[in-house]
Amino acid sequence: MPRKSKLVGVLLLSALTYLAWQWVPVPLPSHWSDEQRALIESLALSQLPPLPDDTGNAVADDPLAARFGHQLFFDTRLSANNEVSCATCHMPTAGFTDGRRVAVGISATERNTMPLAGAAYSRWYFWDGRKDSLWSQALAPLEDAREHGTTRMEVARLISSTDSYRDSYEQLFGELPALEDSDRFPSRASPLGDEQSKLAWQRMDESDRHEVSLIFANIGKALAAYQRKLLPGPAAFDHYVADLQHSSSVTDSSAMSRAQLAGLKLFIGKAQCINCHNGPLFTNNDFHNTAVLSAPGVLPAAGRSEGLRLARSDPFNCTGKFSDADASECIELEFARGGDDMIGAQRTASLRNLADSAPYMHAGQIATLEEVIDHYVAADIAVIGHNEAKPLNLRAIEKRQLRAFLDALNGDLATDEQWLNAPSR
Amino acid sequence: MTANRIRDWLTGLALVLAVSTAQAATVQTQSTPSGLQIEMQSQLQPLTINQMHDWVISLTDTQGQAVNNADITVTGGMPTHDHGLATTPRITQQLGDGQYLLQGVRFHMPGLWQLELLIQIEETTYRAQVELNL
Repeated sequence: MPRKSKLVGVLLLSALTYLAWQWVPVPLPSHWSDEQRALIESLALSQLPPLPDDTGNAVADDPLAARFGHQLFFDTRLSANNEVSCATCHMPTAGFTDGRRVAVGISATERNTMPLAGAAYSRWYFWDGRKDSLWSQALAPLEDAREHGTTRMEVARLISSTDSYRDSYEQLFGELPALEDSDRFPSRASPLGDEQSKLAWQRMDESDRHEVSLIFANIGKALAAYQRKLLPGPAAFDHYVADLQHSSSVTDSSAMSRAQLAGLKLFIGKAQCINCHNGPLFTNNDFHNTAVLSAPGVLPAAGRSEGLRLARSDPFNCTGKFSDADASECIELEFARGGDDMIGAQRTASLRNLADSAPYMHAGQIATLEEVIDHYVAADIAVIGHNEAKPLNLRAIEKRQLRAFLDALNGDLATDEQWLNAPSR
Repeated sequence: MTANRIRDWLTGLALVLAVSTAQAATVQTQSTPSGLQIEMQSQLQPLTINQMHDWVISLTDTQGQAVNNADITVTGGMPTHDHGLATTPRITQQLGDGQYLLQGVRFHMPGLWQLELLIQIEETTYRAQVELNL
């Protein structure tokens, strides 16, 4: 045999061996170990506890507040151009997100829209946790120039001048102050708005400013009461866990494919996804730096280090005068960790219903789940702060199995149909 | 005993130890320099991730006497992930009898956690470390 053919043979054999190593699946175990089974069960929706109390929001579970919040959520009058409502970016038909890289209200923002199902379980809101309650979170987009672009004064006026809103508001929160005196209550005013709005706000009497901010805070509480109705429903994975109660064999259930089962095994093991994506919502709702690059041309986000600073100075936080909580109940804010340790850390996203929430990451930097998995396999050095994730030695077939498992987490919301459509007026 | 059986037995033992550490949620250690016996008891039973909870730290000296009026700072993290605690716990109350209430602890990931204690008693600084497998 000539030397050249021998070399070709060796090269061919090496290539075939490499391909086999990359693509041959490891057989599934016949039974999960006790430890694996406990981890799998910890992820099931059946383990989701009841909604946590929101002590800062006295109307969090009031049915009238939910109906009022439902009306407000879809109302485009809560915007500078009468075209933007909460539902513009949190679209019920798209899992309460928008399919865009970054949200677009009045204009484009810098952040990817987060879905809302199960949001009421989080301790922190926004990607950097700059808000410590669902009701307080709901206020920020209203006054953000790129989102709704309205002011709290205009919100108060809308509530006061719309009969049905006025009735709901007064039943829930007590009598509205008279806002007719335009010397005391200008048409547009906010401490966060454009220069003219800020100037108008500064000229207002302190007690009048308080009255308007109180109405604004209460609107956030009604919006939160509505959003507490939005909950994820069972997916193929949850049906699989239910089937596991009747048979301990790994493959007896038809709820998930063999590739998905292999992906589940990786998820709770070698791929280490469960470290942060834990619990029935597949998130610890905490903050991690995983070296996600900023969007092209944008400086890296400071993340949680900045988010906690903002949450602590927010007048609408748990300890503020608009919160219904006793300061002793604000333990999350009191013991939260910020500072340099948290530079570049963003909130862990839920992995339920990822089909709706592409593109991914805080600025929608990563288009597909395949690329997200590649990102965690590589675990590159972070541009700011440090990457907590370590490189994963996943083979090509394993990346595909992990991707297949994520499809088993898509399911319809466990929310009554009435809350998923715009309310009739 | 074959190598496989030894390996299985060791794996089983490691699991039992890990689980018992997590569920007992009481850990003991000694200080450096020596002189203090430290016991930490979680007020969350069983100890689970993602829940804010408190611990009671008990200090005794070499004669078994309770040590009061110590200044204790608790930090820590996950050595395999190079990150600190998810929260900033601190001692909020001296309970008497050498006991201190540590509030604001939440572990947000399963795995090995280390808690580092810095204990100041008059002019002496003691250090101690405990490990928890969650």
